[in-house]
Amino acid sequence: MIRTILFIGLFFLSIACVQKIDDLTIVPISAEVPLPIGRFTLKADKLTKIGDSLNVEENSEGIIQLYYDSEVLRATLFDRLTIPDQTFNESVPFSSFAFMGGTDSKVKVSRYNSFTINNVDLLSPPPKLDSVIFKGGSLKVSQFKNFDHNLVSTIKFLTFYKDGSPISVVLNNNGSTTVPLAGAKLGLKGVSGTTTNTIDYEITSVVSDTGSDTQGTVSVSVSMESMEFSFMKGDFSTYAFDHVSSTYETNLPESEFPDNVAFTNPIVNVAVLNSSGIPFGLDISELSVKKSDGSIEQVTGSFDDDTYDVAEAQDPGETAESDFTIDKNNTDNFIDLLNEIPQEVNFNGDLTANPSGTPVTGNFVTDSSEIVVNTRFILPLEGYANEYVLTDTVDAKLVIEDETIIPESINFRLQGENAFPMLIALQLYFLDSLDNSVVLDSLFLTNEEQQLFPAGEVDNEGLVVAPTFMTSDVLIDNEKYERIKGTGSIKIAAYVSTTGADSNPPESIKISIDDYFTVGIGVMIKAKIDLNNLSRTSK
Amino acid sequence: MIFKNTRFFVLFFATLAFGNYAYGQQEFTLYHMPSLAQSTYLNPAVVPEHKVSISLPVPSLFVGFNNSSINVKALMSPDGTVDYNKFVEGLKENKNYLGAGVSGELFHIRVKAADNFFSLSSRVIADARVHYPRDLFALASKGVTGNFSLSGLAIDATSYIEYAAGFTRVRPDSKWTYGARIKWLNGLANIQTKNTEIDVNVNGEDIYSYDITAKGLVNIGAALDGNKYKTLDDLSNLEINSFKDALNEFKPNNGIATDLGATFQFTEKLSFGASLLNLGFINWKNFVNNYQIDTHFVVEGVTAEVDFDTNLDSLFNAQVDSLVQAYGDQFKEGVDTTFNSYKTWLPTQLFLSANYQITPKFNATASVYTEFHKGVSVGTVVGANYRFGNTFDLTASWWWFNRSASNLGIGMVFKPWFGQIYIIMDNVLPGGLVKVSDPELEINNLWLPYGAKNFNLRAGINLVFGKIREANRLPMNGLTKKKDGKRKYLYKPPFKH
Repeated sequence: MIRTILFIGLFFLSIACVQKIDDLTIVPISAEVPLPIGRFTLKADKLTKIGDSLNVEENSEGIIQLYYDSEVLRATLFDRLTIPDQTFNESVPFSSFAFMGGTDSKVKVSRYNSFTINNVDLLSPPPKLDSVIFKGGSLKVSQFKNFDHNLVSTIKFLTFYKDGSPISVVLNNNGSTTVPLAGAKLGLKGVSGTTTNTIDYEITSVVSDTGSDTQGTVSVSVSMESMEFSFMKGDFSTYAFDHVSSTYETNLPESEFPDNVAFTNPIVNVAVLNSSGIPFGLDISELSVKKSDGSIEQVTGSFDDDTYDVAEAQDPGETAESDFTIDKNNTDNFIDLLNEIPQEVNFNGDLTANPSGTPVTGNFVTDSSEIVVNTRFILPLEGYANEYVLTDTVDAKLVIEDETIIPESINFRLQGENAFPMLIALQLYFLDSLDNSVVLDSLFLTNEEQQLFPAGEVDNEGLVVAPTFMTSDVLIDNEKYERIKGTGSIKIAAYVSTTGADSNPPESIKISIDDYFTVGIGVMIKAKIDLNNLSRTSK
Repeated sequence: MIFKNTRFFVLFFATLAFGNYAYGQQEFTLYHMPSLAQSTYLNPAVVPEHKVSISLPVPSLFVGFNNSSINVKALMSPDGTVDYNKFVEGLKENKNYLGAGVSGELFHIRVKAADNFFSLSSRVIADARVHYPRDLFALASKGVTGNFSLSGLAIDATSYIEYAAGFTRVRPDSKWTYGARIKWLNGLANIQTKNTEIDVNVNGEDIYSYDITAKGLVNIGAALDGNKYKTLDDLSNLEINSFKDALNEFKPNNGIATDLGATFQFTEKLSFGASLLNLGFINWKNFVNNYQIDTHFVVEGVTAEVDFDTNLDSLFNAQVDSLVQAYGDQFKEGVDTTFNSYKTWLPTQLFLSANYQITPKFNATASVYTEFHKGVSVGTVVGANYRFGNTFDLTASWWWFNRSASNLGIGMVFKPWFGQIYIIMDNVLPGGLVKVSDPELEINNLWLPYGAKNFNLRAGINLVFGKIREANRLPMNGLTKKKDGKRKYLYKPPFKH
């Protein structure tokens, strides 16, 4: 009996527990997921978008400036100071000399004189050299006699030093010798009012023998060949040195700045590096710009009224730098021309050596002396911009193809810390995916909504003294998502307005090296996951 | 009137009142199958039917799974509505758990000698438990809002080999039987977490940065030579290609434990039993790593300097890997690794039971199960055992456990002449079955256990010899048949003292 009850009980228990479900209804879940994307910082020294090839530096006032360097002239001076091969001849006559009693005796004759160096290759007038130092070449001395007696001559160059001593050669009878000149220093006359460059020498010839009287002539020939110099000093006089001409590209963008954007302190800095002992004068004969439309316009002003003095080096091995500035203070129209985005700058000028006469200490050049003229186009970030627009278009697909995921809202959290003296407003235009020409919607409806990042607090100089902080939430709800989910690309427009740009006249701000902008981006995604759509999706 | 002893009623209903709060690996049905030698694993004082029992040729194997909260019913209403949100709401804030265990007998032998039973046995046991807070599952349904905490997330997994010697004392002139087992344990592997605190605060004032704090202790132990293998990274050098390799590398972590049990014949039909199991520990001291975690870091995405030409998308993607690495390094900085031995206590279990002999072949039982592991867990079970002649025993149990009142267990013992073939299942029909079909979801006649949270299965074969006559088995010793009208029942005269 109990056995039967047990089995029946178990059977009905099993049957009662079986349940049949023919249709599942899945309650959607709605999850919220916050995602910190990150913090991105743009520092002032990364503001290179204005010109891709422009460099960035900080000037002495801490202001960021963009610049472009160009070398206008590089000329080696020593190439223009050469001395051709020189040949000098001297005769020493012996009228008579007798040998008493047939015994050995001597006759000595000495001669002092100078050689004159001719044909120095310089522009007129020729230089008056004081001294030169050789790094190559040779000195050849030859002797010839027209009598039979023994002859010994000593030729000594009194101002021609080598190894600390005057060069002296001894020749016997008809003979010759060659002296290398590398390292030799030749003292020359001509600095103090003398117009010729001379070499003093002394010849002493001794005739010795026994026998009868005779007479004759000793001829001495001196030549200097293949001369190379490492140093020259003297009076090089005033002469037109060179013409300086250059055209260089600015690498600025081709489009003009709009009327409400301006850089208010552009500068062209000319730096002349002179490693010779010759002062120069620089006359700027032309400074013109080629505008984006191809037309050329002259920069006018007082910048070309005077000759710019280029200082000379005081000692060999030194380089003197002379700087000249062309800016708003000595031009009439430079700022205007600059803000029309010049594509080229043309520079013409002339260099004159010793424009005020030779200095008292004279001139010198070395074999490494050169004159270099550099120009630097400088664009300090000083100025104003009122709603200057930067735009970019990026591909974007916003549709979520998984039908089980239904976005309810997406909140973009933008947290800005703005230490630039400019308000940054943002607008996004969602363009259709067919031809990217139809604006499906924009992110913001009002201008106020767009103004996400207020400018940093500025002082009277236009410099930021404190950043501003602003946290903005940009909510895309389900309705907006439905409108923009067909997006193929997004056009991003950033509107930049500097502090005081809407004043009359506009106030100018300065961007310092310490300026920065940090934006933190976070996203809060709320989505409904409805697995009831799973079957539709899979089908 | 079968239950004429009022004390029985008090006990019975008291056990019901304490139900629904037990966790862990339990076998309630086996407890009520004294004919099997394996029931002594749950009460060493149980007296079997045979003088000799050997677990051959198929040793006793056990697999079990249980959890506190997850089942089909929690996710799906009877009308077919699947509501994950409701499931999450149904979870406890902190005290939810999943558990699984396996054990296999290596050998078992039990022999009767005079009034005593002696046993030797060995088992391999593995037990894993995971405790989790509600927020772990709420992440999927609610996402991350404000603060959420994974504190209380805990793992405790242990495997070990047990060598046991048991003794049961059965005196014919006593109402008591006593039993005890001493167990020598070889710990194989362990991972345990302690005092875990994982709190995540999403900063709603900034860009939703995550402020993460993690604290706690993680102990890892293994039966390997700690002098040869120091850290987990060193285990990459471990090569076991043969049984000999395994023996060479094996360096167990020793432990000791005991099981105690007793039964008391209260009246001629009513007896009580009690057993205290797993009173012991394993000392992990060979290969040991302790990770004391105390770390705090903020996840706030990419930090980068950009210019007008920067592609933010590329920049972000390029930095994600390094970010993950950086956060990983930051986490590691907050982890202090030591190599100190530690002790894990076995989950101590207490059974209190009452047995009412209705007829010589049919008895009813009720018991309360208490487990002491990360708190106190309590379960309740009632059961009935019927012997169909000498060839088949059927045991059914109904237990209240883990907030579920639908846990039917069935144990069957087939008794051919050579021994016992048994299969025991807890939670056979826990809460019914559902047959689910949904063409749109491409589900066709999917059978699911509707209310099942737990399932245990034990099976094996024992060789048994020398059946003990029923009259000589305590507490049946001395019972005689009596008549009450048409009804026959067993009667046991009072013991003579």
